[in-house]
This record gives sequence, structure tokens and C-alpha cells, in this order.
Amino acid sequence: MNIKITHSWLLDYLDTDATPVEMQKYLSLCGPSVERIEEIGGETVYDIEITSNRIDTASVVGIAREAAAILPLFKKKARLKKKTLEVPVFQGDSIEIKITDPDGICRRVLGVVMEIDGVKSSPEYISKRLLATDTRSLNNIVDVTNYVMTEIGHPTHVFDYDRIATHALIIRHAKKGEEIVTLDEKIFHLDETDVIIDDGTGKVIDLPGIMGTANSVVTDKTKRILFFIESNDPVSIRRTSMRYGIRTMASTINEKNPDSELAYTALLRGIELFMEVANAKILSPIIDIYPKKQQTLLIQTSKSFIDKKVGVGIPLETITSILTNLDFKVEVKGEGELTITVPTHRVSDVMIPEDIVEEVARVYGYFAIPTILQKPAYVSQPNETELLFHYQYAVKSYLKHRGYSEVMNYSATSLELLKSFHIEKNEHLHITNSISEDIKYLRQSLIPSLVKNLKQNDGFVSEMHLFEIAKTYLPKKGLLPEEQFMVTIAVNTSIEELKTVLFGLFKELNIQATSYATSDSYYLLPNVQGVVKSDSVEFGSFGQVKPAFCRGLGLDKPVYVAELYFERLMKAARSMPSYKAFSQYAHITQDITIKKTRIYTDIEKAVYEASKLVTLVSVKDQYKDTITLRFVFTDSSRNITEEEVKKELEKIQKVLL
Amino acid sequence: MDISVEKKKFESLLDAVTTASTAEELELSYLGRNGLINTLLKGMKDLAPEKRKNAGQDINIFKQEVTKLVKEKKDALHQKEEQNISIDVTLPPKDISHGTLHPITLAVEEITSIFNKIGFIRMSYPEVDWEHYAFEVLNMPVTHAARDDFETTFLNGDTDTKLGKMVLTPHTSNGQVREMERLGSKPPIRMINIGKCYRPNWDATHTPMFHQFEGLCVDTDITIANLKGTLDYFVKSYFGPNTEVRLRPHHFQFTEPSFEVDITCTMCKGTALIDGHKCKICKSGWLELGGTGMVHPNVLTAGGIDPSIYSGWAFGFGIERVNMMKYGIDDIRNYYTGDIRFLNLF
Repeated sequence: MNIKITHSWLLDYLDTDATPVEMQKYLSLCGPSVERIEEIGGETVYDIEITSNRIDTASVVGIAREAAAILPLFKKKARLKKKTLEVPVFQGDSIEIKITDPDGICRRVLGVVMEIDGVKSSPEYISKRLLATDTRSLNNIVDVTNYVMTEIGHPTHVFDYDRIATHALIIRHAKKGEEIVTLDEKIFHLDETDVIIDDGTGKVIDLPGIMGTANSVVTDKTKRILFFIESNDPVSIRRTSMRYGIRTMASTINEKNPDSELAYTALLRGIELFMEVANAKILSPIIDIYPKKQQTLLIQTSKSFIDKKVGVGIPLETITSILTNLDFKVEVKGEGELTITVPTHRVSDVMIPEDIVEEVARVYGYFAIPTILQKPAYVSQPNETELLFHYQYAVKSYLKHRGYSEVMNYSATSLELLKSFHIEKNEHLHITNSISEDIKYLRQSLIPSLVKNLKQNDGFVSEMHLFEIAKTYLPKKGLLPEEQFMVTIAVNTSIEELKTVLFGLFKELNIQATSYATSDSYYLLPNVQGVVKSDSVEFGSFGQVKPAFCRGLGLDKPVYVAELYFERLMKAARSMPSYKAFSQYAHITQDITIKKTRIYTDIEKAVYEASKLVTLVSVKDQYKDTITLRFVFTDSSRNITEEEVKKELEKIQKVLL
Repeated sequence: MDISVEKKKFESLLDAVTTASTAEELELSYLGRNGLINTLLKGMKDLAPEKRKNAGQDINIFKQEVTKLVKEKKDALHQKEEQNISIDVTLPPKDISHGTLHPITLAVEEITSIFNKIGFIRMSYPEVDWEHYAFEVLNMPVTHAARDDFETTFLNGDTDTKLGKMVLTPHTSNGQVREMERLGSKPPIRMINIGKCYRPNWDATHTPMFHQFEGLCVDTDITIANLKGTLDYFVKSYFGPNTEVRLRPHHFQFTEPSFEVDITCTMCKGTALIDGHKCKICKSGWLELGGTGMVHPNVLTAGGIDPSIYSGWAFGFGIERVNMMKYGIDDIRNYYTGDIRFLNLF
């Protein structure tokens, strides 16, 4: 979250000679990050990022305290001006008011009834400061609540006392479906985990800590007010506020666990201001339901621990003065043994010695710590992991050099895309809180995404060669899904091109693999598909995507894809082919043309089985149902003769009949 | 036999030669195996012994002359011919089939190699993980805001009674305790974990899937100074030797202390000015790189490592972000649409 405060307001609590620019620079380096300085209505305004652990700094006082600790290390004068707030003394009979928290929901509830001299506009300095810090100035009464929140750091609320029917406030959980109308006139139906205030008649008169309701807030006619502060459960505040999208400054602060001691300071400061702007008179004693007082915390640590974590020796006096300026109490014993009392406004953040290291090191200055690489250490990388990354890049690199473009798609697809491929959604893991229907079902194949990519790019480029390496997610009962890397290649040109790159890939990886015709792949046309196998491993399939699927995406042209199991490739891949010395003796090349009666893989296999002298078989030509094959014959130990080759050819021809 | 006649004849033949190839033919007819010189030498056996000596000398001198003159002629003609070769080499070739690697891949390779040099090994951990590894062991209890529906992507897979619900990892930090466990809780740890992350956020500067690289270093005596040393080494290697790094206080549940890392702006070199105008990229001379910190003792404990003996640092930076900072690739939504017009830029 960000807060805005003005420089003049800060000076109410800080005595300093630092300029706004210096303030921005030094605070950002050592404390809250001042993101920008603006000039608004004659005020210099700081826009400050507050991290979720430092809600104690989300106020003028909080920033003043940080500045008082940080600026002296940059040789700037900075002293915190602590205000003493009077506790009003109430005498006489109290006006009727009853506040209860029967279920002990809140950590602290504070309230006081006051009479005011009318609802009017605020003094100029208040409205000016509120406007400069992005808060609307409404009237003197509501403005005080916002002013106190920005100055002290705890949200506050004000009710019209006379609009609370029975002058009772009961803090309780909402009933399922209970209706409220917030002060901005929006209707919400509540959940049993939401906390509300009941006026004793069953009517909801507040969504405490988040936003007031229209039926109880101050109006132009208000004469008596109930100034009310509660310290609620931060998780409950966050969930209610997020559930209904009611994101007020109050809820943003309350969900970050502000100090319940601070609630009292806010109350006193509020009373002081009501007296100032509305001539307020107190009509009741201060009601303070505070079953468990917020305690301080003790942390034991030492100078040597701090030095060891930081990596440089920080003088003991520097350590103690930094901590003391931040409101910690420090007791030093012996050789730098430290007993540190954490103030209540820091106990939710500072709990262990490492937290103390942070406090000391940040104010000492991270820039003042040396820059030293750690000592080297050897950690062995598992072989499979090494192969995974090595071959991923090898495959990507090969495909790139063959003219293919790498795409990365979302890991999840839409139901619509699954439907185009006639796939049942039930088998897929899906995101239960997806922000878009486009990315809901975790992929089990990369083919649909790549076909979609081809469709999307239709018109930009005529010939497309795409690939993706990514995980697929296969559900396993009671376990995490199996995450399996696939390498998928898609072209819109020809199966010939796909095969060229595919078989080139196996050659690149030095894998001896053969293709077989199959009809197993769901995505591919039964008569235009094959698998690539070695002796024991099936690497994946290739072929033409069923045109019906493509048409489902509005794609009329044929699409050819190959999808391979990456990890199988990686395990079979070799950086060098198995070495076999080339033959020093004569090579004789012979062609024959035969009628093609079987698939090529079978032809090739039969040729190698028939002749021991064949070292290479290739296709020279193909015409109608005939195929011209080229054979290279050689022997590694002697020169072979033309007659021998002739005999071998006869053998081959016989098996290919 | 009169050599001088042959000589004249040769000279006139040589004069008539106008191309390097006819020069070669002439050379062959004189100096080849069946050329004139060899024929003359063979004819010497028919001469009277007293004439042989002089004839031999004459033929050799003739041979040397022929050799020399033919070479000169050939050289001159080659030179002339070469002068006539002229091609417009700037004409583009017919086809440059040029594929592309995704900008994420390029960055991953570069980052991995930078960290390899200082002994960090790249690891890979699940993208679908239990809440246990994504949050619980990272000091984020069930009430933590990051575990709300608005911040984390939940899956419909079975819930594990001990490990919680199944999520798409919102950061690569789920690898932290997994790496500790892989090493049997025995430091040293020097890990770089790069992976896809998922958060329910989709606008001009966020995509619901993005990439992070996570560094984790655990050993005895690891300090903030060491974290600074590593970050300084990385940013100088990746962004250039003049890049400076600074840490600012921040807050993360799984580190203590926690820092935000800034580097000097890659566009204005940290001056906040470009040609006298305020730098539009950084405004202040600094650019935010990401989050880092010293590993929280609760995280070490969750990984079975004794925080009183060991300490460590960790960081998680976005790859889309470093690409933006280094190369100015600003609309990250293009990364995952498969748009060929974008992919072809790399």
C-alpha cells in the first residue's frame, strides 16, 4: 500500500533541517520507500510505499519516527517531537451507552460520546492537508476521523449517537445473507464469517474496520456523536473487505495488524481535535474493552550475531543508538550481549534476532556494507537435470537453425480449444479460480496450442514452421501430476518438410531411430501418421492433424505435427555417434527400381537383412507405385568385385518382390 | 635440329595466346609428357656423342625459357581475367531460412551461464506443487494474504492431508526447501532455479504466466555482504560492467532481512537524464530489479538445516522484467500469444 503525507504535517512531529529531496533519498535507502514528491495546493506531498509488515509507518507519526532514526546517520538534524495528549476527565452522569463484544471478537474496543456544536466545514489547515493526501474533506466531524488516521496510523469511526436506536452496540458475526447498505449506498449480503455491529434490535449499523453503514453515520443534523475505534482481527478484515471489494484506507490498515495500543492514542487525539473543531463536550466516560493488553517482547541477541549476519563489524554504540531511536529499549551486558525490548507497535514484525539484524543494518545503511562474493563451493548437479537443460537447448538450437520459430504458450488452454479437438475436459486438471476462461485446463498435449498458433498467424506469413518445448500435466490419483516435457513441431507446408526436420533432429542427437506407420495418435489422420522408435523406446508420433480438428479452428489448410517425449530423446541422445571406421576399400553404388508393395521402413529392414555388404540404402526416386532405391556396397576388409555386387543385388531383389 | 627455329616458333605461338586456357594447352604441348621438349630430349640418342652435350644444354635452356615465358603469360592472363570478375555481393541471397528462439530462452541461457561460472547449478522443480512447498515452508501460514484466491492459482487436484492443496506455483521459491531436501539438508547449496510461475493477474504489465530465476545460497557464514557481492557480479555480467546495484529495505515472509534490489538505469546510465531531459524509463536513475533477502531461519529449519550453524541468501527475479530492462521489450503480453510477427524479431 501507499500513503501520502505532507511535509508541513511531518514537521508537527519532527524537528529537522532535511529538505524534502534529502528526506526522500535517505528514507528510501534505509526505511520506507518515498516513491515521489508532489506539490499539491501549496503543500509538499510525499507518496510513500508501506510494506505489509510496517503498518506502524503508515502515518505522519510513523514516518517521523523513522526519519528521526535515519537522518542523523546522514548528518542531518532530526528529533521526534512527542505530543502529550490529555486524558479527559469525565464527571457526572454518563449518557446511556452500552458497547459489548460477547464473543470476544475484537482485541480492543474504544468509545466515547460527545456533544458537538454542529456539522460544518473543517478549519482550512485540516481540509488542505486532507486534500493534499488524497482524502475528500466532507465536514469537521468526518474529517477528524480521517485526519487522526493519517496522523496517528489507526482507523477511527464516528456514529451519530441519536441514530443508534437503543444506544447499544453489539459486536457479532453476521447471519448468512444479512443485508447491509454501506455509507456509499451499496447493498451487500453478508457471510457468517463477517463481523458487524448490531444496534440491539438486530439491525446492522456498521461493518467495523472497513466501512460505516448509511443508517448510522453522521448527517448535517447530527448533535451528538459516538467516537468509536475497534482493533479487529486482521485476517477477518482482509477476507471481508476482499470478498465484497470494499477497499477503504481503514480496511487496508486494519488488515495489517495495527497496534491496539495505538488505538488509544488515536482516541485521545480525536477527542482533542473534536474539541478544537466542534467545541465537543464529553458525555460519557471512555469505554475501553481490552481483555488482553498488548505486551512488549524481549529478544536476546548480540553484537557478534549481528556482525556475522551482516558481514561487517558495526560499532556497539551505533547498534544501540539505531535501536533506541526506533523506540526499542536496549540493555547491554558483557561483550555486546543485547537484551532488547520491542515496542508494542513493532511486536507483530520484530520477533527474532534476524529481525534485529534488519533494523540495525538498514539504518546503518545497506550501501555501507561491503560487496564480497561468498567462498566457492562445489555442488554436483544431478546428471538428469544437466541433460535436461543441455538437450533442451540443443534441440531448440537445432530447430532454430533449421528455420523454425520457438513459441511459448500458456500452460493452460480454454474449454473451447479442447472442444475443437473433441477432447473431454474431465480428464484435465483445471484451475478452480481462473481469471480467464482462456487459461483453465492444464495441457496434456502441445498440439492444440500449436495448431491454434498456426491459425492465429494465418495471413501474416504463408509458410510457418513452429515449435514449442513445454510441460504437459498428467493427473495422478492423490499425487502431484506427472510433469512431462514434450517437444512439438508444427508446419503448414508439407509432411516432407516435417520429416526432414524430424529425422534431422534424430541425426543431430545421434539417435538410431526408425519410423513406423501407426494409427495410434488421437490427433492425427489414421493413414498419415507414424511413430519414431529405437530398439526399446518410442519417442513419439508425427503426421497430419485430423482436418476436422483444424476446421474446428477455422483452418482449411493441412497441418503437420510431430510430438515427441523430450525426456526419452534426452536419455537416448549421444554427443558423439557410435564410432565405426570408414571402409578404405572400394564403394560400389547400384540403383534398382521396384514396385513398392510395402512401407519404406520394411523395405530398408529387408535390404539390410538380405545383404551384409550394403552400407547405405536411400531413395533415389519415386514414380506412381514404383520406387528407385540406391544401394552402396562395400566391405571393410577388402575390395569387392562387380560380380559380388551383382549377386547381392539379386538377393535383395528376391526379398523385395 | 635448330633450337632457335623452335624458339621463334614458340614465341610466335605464345604471342597468339589470348586466354589462360590456351596458354595451358600451349604449355602442355611443350612441357607435357608427350610435349616437344620431351620429344627433343628423346631425339638426342640419335645424335653423335660429341654433339649430344651441346644439344642437351640448348634443350635445357629452351625448356627453362618456355617454362618462364608460359608462366609469365599465364599469370598475366589470369590477372586480367580475375580483373573482369565482378559480382554485386550486396544482393540478398534467395532464401535465408532463419528460425528464432523465444526471448525467454535466450535470457535463460545467458543467466544460467553467468551463475554457472560462480558454481551455481541450475535445477528444475515442479510447476504444480503443494501449498506446503509453495507457502508453508516459506514461512507463509494459511492466513497469509498471498494464499488467498486473489493471489494464488488453485487446481482441482486432490488435496493432501499433510501437504495441502495443489497450486500452480506463484514463484520459483517452492524450489528452496525442495533443494534442501534433495541435498539431505546438508549445505553447501548453490542453486539457480528457473521456471514458469503463475499468478491471477492479467494486464499491460502482468501475464498470468511468467518466468522467474531464483538464486539460493546456503553455507556457513553467508552474509549480506555476500548477497551484495553476488548481485553485483550478476548485474555487471548481465547488464554491463558499469551497472551499479543497491539494496533497499523491503518485506518478504521467507527472508529476513528482506531487500528490494535496484540497478542503475540501463537507458540513462543512472543519471536520470537523457539529452538534458528527465529519463522516461526510470525517473530517478534507478530501476527496480526484484526481491531478495537472507533466508529466514524458519525456512532453513523447514528444510532440516540448523539456522544456528548455517545462513543463506535467496532472490527471485522476473525474466520478462530483466529482458525489459536490458532490451526494452516492454509489452510482455506478446510473449505468450505465439504471434509470429513478435517471434520473428528475435
